[in-house]
Amino acid sequence: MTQAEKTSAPATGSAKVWIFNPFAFVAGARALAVGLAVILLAALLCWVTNTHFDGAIDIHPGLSAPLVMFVIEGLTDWLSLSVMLMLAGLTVRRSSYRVVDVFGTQALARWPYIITPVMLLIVPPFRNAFANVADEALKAAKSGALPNMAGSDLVLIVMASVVILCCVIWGVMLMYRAYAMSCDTRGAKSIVSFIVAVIAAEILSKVILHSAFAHLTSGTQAAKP
Amino acid sequence: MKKIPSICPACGGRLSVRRMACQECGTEIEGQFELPLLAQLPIEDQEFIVQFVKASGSLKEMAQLLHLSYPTVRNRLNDIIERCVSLEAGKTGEMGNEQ
Repeated sequence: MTQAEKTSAPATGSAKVWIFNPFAFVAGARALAVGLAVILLAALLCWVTNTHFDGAIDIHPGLSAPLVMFVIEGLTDWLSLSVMLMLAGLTVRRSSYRVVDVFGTQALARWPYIITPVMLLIVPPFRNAFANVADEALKAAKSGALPNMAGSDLVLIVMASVVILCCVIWGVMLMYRAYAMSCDTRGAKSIVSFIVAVIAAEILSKVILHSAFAHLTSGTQAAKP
Repeated sequence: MKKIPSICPACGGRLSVRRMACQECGTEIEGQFELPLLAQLPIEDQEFIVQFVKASGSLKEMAQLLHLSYPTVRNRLNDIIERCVSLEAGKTGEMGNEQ
């Protein structure tokens, strides 16, 4: 073993580290390139499965929309959270940091989010259940009556929601790790600043997406998520 | 030759040198010699510093050498800086107490 190898802290072969903290090995431009590819691929899969990332950390299966809306959702979520975390990092960082690390690691941290559209794509009953419930909700909203939902659809939705919740928890955990790593933050200040940044990013992304959807759907009949 | 331990294995306190010997003539000197700042750091930190100097202080080169990301290496350096500052502060505190 060389001196260089001995000095390296985490083992590069450890699957646990790759799953829970890939930023120990990948950051900067490489993370940005992979992360952007993941965001665009997720947008494509979301378009196919009608899954909306309609907030910085949100996942909601919903109604169909043009592909460009799904791309806007992915990019808005990533950019709003990265900007807020970059600003939060300025207040609690131990030293200077590179902007490309913040944006790159945040893009890569979104990869667990791709699991939801993949799950809906390969398990059609889940997709159909969400579509049925969305149709019933729309009908009920128009008629003013209570939605008539099938029990089997509700069971499938609960099952899918558990998977979606796990994806969100995993994704948010990676986002925190990416923030702590790229801005070199520690302790309670790090956690509090992250929570504040996520709330601010959630509000910012909702405002931007609402405006974008209003603009995009103003001349069409496409439904909002 | 064995590496110099900087921390007491029994209580975790800082170690100092009590005896030194000439390898040529065997003359031995006894006293209370304090370890240099770098020697008081953990072995892994000392190895990191040697690598860092060899890499001309380039964090990018260090990241490539260690197969780690740039922020990981930079954070590790920040940890070492904090330890050095803490050791220096401890030393200053001890001197202040003596005066």
